[in-house]
Amino acid sequence: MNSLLPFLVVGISVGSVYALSGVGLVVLYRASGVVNFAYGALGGLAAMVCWQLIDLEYADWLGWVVGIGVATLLSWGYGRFIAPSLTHQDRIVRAMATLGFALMIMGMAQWYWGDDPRRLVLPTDSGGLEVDGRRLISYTRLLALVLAAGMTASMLWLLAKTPLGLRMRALQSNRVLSGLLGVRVKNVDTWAWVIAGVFAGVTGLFMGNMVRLNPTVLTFLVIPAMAAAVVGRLVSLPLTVFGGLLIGVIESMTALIPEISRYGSSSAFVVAILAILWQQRSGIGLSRDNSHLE
Amino acid sequence: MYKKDKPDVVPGTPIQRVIPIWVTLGVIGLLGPLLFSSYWLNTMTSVACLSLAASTVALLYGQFGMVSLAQFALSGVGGWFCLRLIHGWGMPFEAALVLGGLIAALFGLAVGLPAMRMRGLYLALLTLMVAAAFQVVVNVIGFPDGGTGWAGKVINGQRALIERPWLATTDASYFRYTLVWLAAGMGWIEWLRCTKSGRSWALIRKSEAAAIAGGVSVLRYKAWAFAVGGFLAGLAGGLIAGLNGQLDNTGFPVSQSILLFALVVVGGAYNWVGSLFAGLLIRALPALLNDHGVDGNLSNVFFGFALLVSLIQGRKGLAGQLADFYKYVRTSRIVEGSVTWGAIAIVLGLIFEALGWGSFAGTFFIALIAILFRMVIPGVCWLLLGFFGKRFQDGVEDGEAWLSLRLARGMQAMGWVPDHRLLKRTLNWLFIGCFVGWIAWGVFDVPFEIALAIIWLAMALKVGFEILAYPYVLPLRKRLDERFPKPLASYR
Repeated sequence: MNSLLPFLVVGISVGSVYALSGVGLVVLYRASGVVNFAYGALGGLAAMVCWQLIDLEYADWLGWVVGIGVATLLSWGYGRFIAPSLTHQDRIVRAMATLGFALMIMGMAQWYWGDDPRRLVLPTDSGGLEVDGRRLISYTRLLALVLAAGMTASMLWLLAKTPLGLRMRALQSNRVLSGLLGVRVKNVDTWAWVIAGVFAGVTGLFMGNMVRLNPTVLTFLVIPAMAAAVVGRLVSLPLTVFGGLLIGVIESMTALIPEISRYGSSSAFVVAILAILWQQRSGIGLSRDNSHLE
Repeated sequence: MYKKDKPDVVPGTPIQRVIPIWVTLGVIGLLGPLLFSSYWLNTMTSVACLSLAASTVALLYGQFGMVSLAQFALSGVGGWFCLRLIHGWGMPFEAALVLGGLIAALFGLAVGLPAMRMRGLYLALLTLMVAAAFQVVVNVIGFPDGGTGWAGKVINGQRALIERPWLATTDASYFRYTLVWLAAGMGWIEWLRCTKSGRSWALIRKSEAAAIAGGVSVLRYKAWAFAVGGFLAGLAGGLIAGLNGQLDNTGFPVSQSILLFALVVVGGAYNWVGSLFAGLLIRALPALLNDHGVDGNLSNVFFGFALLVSLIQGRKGLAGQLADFYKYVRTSRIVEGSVTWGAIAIVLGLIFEALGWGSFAGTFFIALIAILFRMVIPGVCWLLLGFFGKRFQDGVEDGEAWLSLRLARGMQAMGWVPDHRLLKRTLNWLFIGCFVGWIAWGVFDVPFEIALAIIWLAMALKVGFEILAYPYVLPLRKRLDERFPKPLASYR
């Protein structure tokens, strides 16, 4: 058990970042019906901007705030000015449009910063919780865990208890009827995009710290995040969190089995594929549960 | 609102639809090796392979309404098995290619099987996950390169390359060889699109309930679509393997699968030309940018922008724009104008030669450049307007029509009733005269006055000819239109 514990802890902390990304995706999807492919690109941009500011010897906190701020601003801009012109299209078309946005951000970042190896250092990296004199978990990972729990809880509260959350759920249920009932659709959508931007910025900083600080890599980390969201059927926050944690733990546990350790990074996708197959096990094709995905 | 952009029933007989593809690819195959350097020839070969993969995406999305983000991964599967069969059993290239394609078709079926129950976004996510998992797996296993074991991987040794087919050992012949496969694949897709399969797919896209009621076997045609898509994507992978003799472990990342779909949308999913555009964009554009010292990453920015624009504009893509332009050419009098213009250029050349003001060839050439601009400038303006959206394009056209009407009324009031577009054309020609004259002066050292004289004289001749010939040309046009009806009605 003692040898398993470090892997479990690392898995849970990485999984919590996946879960956080998944929650950001799900909240936006529930409110506006858009699967956001630009999520990873926004996070990547946040991490790069943060690194740049810290590299220019500004205060660390300024880097974090500006990084998350840039991601939020861009997300707001897309949600406010570009997404509305696509609302009457299929969901798949709207998802693909965010892919265009992602490619633009990624191309710009890659062009400006290039492929040089960099590291985004957070002050919480140096310390950690120790057990028996060995470090079990760094404070950064602990912070990720706490933030993921806190932000997910606040989203659950927002959706369940606040007027904005009520309107978001109304939009999820039926956009046209909500509009007729006086919900300001564009307004609520824009709020969802702002929230998604903040989530993307925060997860981007953590991913840039834990995985690799490279715009392309961070952009395509949206795919494992989507895997977590798929486990939650793109609607359920608790299931998404569960999916994210599961993916993180499996990914880190595969390192223990030499035969499959090199395939570890595919665990997110395998989990997602199995989840999709499981969800489709009975004739869901035309049923109520799945109609929102058409 | 955008439904009309999707052709439900493809017009024309299969032969009529397939022949333009073969002619286009045939011309490219004949001229390509003469025009390109060897680096560009290999780039163009890989463009052809990518176009084949893109045409399967276009088939699934445009005709069948299913989004598969795993098509390029299926190319990887086809390439893997093609290499394995050649290294393992020494199969001839073509046999391995087709077998690899068949195995990729099986994989495509396996990916598509869950699609029997789902569509839209969820299928896109599923295929995305499959493509992502394939990237990881192939990164670990690697592509076969003549080693032992089931993976056929050489450990610490010289990697073996496969030989190109005996028909096509040089770069030029391999380019043509690839084009033959591309022509066969695209022709097959186009053939299917306008026969029973295509109609069944379109019906399933519209409504599965209607398809069942209409006696279409939904299951069979879904499986058929994914099998065809997988087979041709697999062929594309094998052809890429044949180009370099090997495949790179990192050559089939999930990002390329996504990009392929995005660029099919940009190129136009409802038209075979769109797949060619997609191949060109994904392979040739980055190479072109690199050639000119521009960072290849900027091509991603362009792709993203183009994707956004074409989705907002209504999903017809570049090919749709081009089809609109073709329609514009057919309904305008460009062809007729070019013939008169050619005749005028020859007459002018003879006159100038006789008077000693310039050589026949030079005069003819300058006049031809002018006609080129006369044809290209409105077309380019029109395409550029389209880039800002249909509404803007329509607005500008309305404004232009309003202005023309005013001018025509003004001319009527003054007592002469030629062509109501006369003033607009005169302005156009004044501009072209100065512009082409300036080019001729700068590039070919022709005196500016002479060039201007050539072009404006030509313009005057043409207008004079039109005014004189108008009464005789009009009935002729009418008879021609009856004989060769405009494609407007049968266009969609």
